[in-house]
Amino acid sequence: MERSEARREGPVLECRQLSKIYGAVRALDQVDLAVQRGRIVGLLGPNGSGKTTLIKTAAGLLTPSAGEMLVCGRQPGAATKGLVSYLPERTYLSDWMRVEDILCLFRDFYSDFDLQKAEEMLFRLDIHRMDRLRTMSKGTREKVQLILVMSRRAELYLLDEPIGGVDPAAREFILGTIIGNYSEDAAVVISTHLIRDVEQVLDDVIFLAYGHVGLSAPVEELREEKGKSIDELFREMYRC
Amino acid sequence: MNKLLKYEFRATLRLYLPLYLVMLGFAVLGRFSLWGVPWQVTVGEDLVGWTNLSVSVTGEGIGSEILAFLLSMVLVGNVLVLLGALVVHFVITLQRFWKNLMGDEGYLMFTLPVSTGELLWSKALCAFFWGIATSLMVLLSVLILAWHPLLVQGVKQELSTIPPEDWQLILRMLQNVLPPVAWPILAVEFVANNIGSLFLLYSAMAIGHTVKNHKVLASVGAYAVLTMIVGTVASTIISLVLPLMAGVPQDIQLNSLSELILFSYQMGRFMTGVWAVALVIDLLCAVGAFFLARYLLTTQLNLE
Amino acid sequence: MTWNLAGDRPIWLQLTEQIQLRILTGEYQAGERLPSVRELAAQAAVNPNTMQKALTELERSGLLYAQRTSGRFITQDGERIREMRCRMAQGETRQFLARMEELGFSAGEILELVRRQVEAEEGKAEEDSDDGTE
Repeated sequence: MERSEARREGPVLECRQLSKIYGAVRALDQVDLAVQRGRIVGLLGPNGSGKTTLIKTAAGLLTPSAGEMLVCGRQPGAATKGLVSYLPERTYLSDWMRVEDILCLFRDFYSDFDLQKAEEMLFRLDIHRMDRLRTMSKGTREKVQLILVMSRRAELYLLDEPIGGVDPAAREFILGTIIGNYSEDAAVVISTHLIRDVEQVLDDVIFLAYGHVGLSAPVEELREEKGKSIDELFREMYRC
Repeated sequence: MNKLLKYEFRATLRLYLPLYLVMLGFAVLGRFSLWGVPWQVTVGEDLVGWTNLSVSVTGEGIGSEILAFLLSMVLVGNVLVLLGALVVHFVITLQRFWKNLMGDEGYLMFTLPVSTGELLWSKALCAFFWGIATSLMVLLSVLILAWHPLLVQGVKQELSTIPPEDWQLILRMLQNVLPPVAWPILAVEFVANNIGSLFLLYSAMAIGHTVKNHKVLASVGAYAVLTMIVGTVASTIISLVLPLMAGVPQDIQLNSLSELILFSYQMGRFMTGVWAVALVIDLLCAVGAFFLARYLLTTQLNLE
Repeated sequence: MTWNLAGDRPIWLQLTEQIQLRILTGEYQAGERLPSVRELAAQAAVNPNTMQKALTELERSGLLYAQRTSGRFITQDGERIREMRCRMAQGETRQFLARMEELGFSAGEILELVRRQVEAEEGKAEEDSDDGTE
């Protein structure tokens, strides 16, 4: 009931005058933005521009200092966490766990988790139920985590630097997995500083700089208007 | 909540099971090295007239001295293992919170669709359970160590010297000192005290985690400050309610049996009052610590 | 065949060309069912909307046709595919000729060059197969 209601109403993610302050540092400064359903949005900006802070706030890991963050019209909390599928930069899976333990955990806690889908994707990577996380390389663990996150039929996918520091083959796998699996009326937010690598998958871009939104527009529009690739635009914007 | 408990239990079982196996192993090993040699338990009488159990090694010569030394080492070793088990329990309790919530795993735990309160409760209830289980395991280890037919026989012999009338008297005095009213108070106080001190630990770690550098040191400092606050609150409450409590029995002459019973009765009343005050203090602290921890983990959380 | 996308031209246009190429080379057979938009987009690691645009373009050119319920298919018109292949070959040849003329070769010279190159490559291929049999 709640879900279908949420599905119809307004933006999936909305910030109103959102600020987050750590001591003297303004990580986010009066940010206004909205992310609509069915869009793949690139959250772009150099390191330290507030991308991770914004995503963590939407995931419910940080509380705004001022302003509002709304996920499906609600403030982040236990309820919105069930609608958001979040991939952090860190690997959060415990060493001692088996693949099976994590699958069970996701199935138990997230009602939108598609166990069969996850199993199929893992199988294709030759990862088995009884494998332990300890025996896996960092890259493999990241793939397992991505598969878990993308096997949910969430309303909002928050992917923090999913392609940071991976080789081209892994990048293709990651982007393919994201595109092949997100639910159609959901929104996908991908944060990255490697614009060139994700440009082709994005509907919209949001440029963040020093906690402000520098630019927010559909990719096609930008390319036509400025006659440049987003990557070139990005370089121009952050030249100094 | 049930699911959280289930996963917390599963994650900790993997640590406690080997711990308990080691404890039992050492206890059984200790028992056989203690009692597998020619021991003699003698039953004698000491000065006050109480029967005294004493244990000595039979046999003579240097060999027996070395044996006695080795055996005392076994005993010391066992005591160390039991103390170690309690320390390990404490460390696991801290680690489960620090690693699972404040570390990288926190990225998963804090994005599950559960409330922060539920996370705290699942951690605390599980740690409370393992605290009791570990204490029971220590007791069991001691019993295993001490178990020997001669010793049991000695204790039985000792108990049988008490006449039935004295048994009745002892029971009655016990009842006076610990009246039925006090039982639920004591039980709740026990739970509140244990859970409360867990929440206090969690709060201290949550405070320590907000500091940029030296998080562990900051946690220890925060814990010291928090216990001081609790101490101040407790002494304030005590000084406030002390005049209202049943007085401490004074000028009691323990010459006759009836006076002894009266004393136990008054003592019971006084102690019940003490338990009740302790309960109030512990409940206050537990609730305070819980809300503090929940506030810190909701609004001040900043995982690295 | 992998998807090669460059950053300097519209992606949907490049996708159109590459799918067309796959049809003309027979990687996608006439009458065959095309993977879903989502699947193709995932393979090429591009936005599904972009892939959708490319497919719509191909539908308009008649190389693909959509069936309401069962998805998109490659045209069954083999004649049309052959025709397009010819047209593409003509285009390539024209480009080649234009560049050769720029370099200052006459028509006769170009024909001679092509003939010699073809013979040389055939010879090499024969040598290779001879090596294989010995």
